[in-house]
Amino acid sequence: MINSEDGLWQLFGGDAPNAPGKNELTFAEFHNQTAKLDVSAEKRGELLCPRFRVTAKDRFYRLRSSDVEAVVNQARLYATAGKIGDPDLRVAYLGTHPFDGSNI
Amino acid sequence: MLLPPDFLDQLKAAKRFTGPFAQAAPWQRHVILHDGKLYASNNRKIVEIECEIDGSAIFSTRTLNLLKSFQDEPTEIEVGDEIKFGWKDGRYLTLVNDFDHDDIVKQHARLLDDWHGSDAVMMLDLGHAGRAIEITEGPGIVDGKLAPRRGFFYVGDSTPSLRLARGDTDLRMDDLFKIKKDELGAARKANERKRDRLLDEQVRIERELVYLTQELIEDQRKLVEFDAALEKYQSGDALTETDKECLRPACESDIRKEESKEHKEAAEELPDLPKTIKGWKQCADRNDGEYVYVTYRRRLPEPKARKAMRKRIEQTVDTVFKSDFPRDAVVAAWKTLSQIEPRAGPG
Repeated sequence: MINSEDGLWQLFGGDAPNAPGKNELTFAEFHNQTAKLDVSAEKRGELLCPRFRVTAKDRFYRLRSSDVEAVVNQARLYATAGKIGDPDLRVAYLGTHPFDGSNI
Repeated sequence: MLLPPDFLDQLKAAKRFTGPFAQAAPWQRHVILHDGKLYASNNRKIVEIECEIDGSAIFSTRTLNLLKSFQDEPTEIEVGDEIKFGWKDGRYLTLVNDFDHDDIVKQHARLLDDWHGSDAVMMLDLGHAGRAIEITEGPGIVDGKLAPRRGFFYVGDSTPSLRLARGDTDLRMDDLFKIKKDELGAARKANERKRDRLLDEQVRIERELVYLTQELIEDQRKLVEFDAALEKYQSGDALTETDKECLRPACESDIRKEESKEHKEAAEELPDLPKTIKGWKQCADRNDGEYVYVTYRRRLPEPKARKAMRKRIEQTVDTVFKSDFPRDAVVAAWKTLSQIEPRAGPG
């Protein structure tokens, strides 16, 4: 289980935090592995909340849906994914240098 | 290309002029970029803001929200089949470009060309280079042109025909002659449907006549068989089962008569219902052999709307027939008139 933002890269099967991951995940899978159940949440949509805060601006992810593609840093990953709002959204880890991620 | 420093502010300024979803103008939720200008309208206001970006694109609320989610502003933009925003550190945002709004852009530009600077509309201060106007109250015709009064692109949710009947028409957008043309078309279609129904009925009747002719031949055959069986009976010959069947009366008609009589007697024994019930009057009763049905009816009040509506329609339509009505004002707006080319010769 990943309990801090430093270990997020491991979910994508990469070798090191500065290297791109080897797998692309659906954002739903990614979210489920980084969230905890908050039974005190007032809104149903907030029942699953992140287990830790994400602040790193030097780690990058690519988000891909049917009509949007975005490369964002770790700090804005959840915010941008939420605004894309696609249930089939996919996420890939690009390492510490954003690039086109063509090897994923 | 590098994103012009004012572009996001210009986009936000144009966004303020967009409106909610409307069936008649689904594009009014978005800002439209076309050849260095941003356009938006909520049907009562129109804006055109000059920007330094070529190409055509649609910027929706989602696009702006996505940009906001990055927290800092992009530094580059590319507009083509996709809209791409780029940041210095390599981040980017790419969206599919759904632009298909050439006609809408033309309408925005034409309305701004026609009315910007005129007293017929209100000029709006933008804080950016461009033009913005808003509808105000005032006379319907200004400088021989029909001024926008209730909407730049559409009027409410009702149809032009209903608005004419309610005395609520907007001559700038409601093509009165199209209403008549549609009525003529609808009447023709109704008559075509009626003709088709009658032709179907004719085919059915012709088919029935063929069957009936066959039945008549069959009846004749049965009569011959009956005569033959009767002759056999009279001469004392032994009768077959078929002969007996030919001679056996069915009495269907009398059986039905007896049944009907029985039903009638049963119906008469039922308790009588009152002839009237609080303004309702009994007008018919019947039984279908299983149930008895009693019908009550009450006259509805005579509708008064027709007379008033006819008068309103006549008054509105008479306006455009008056000799001092500037016919040119509607020629540009009404499609039925725009289609006519008076100077076009034969061939």
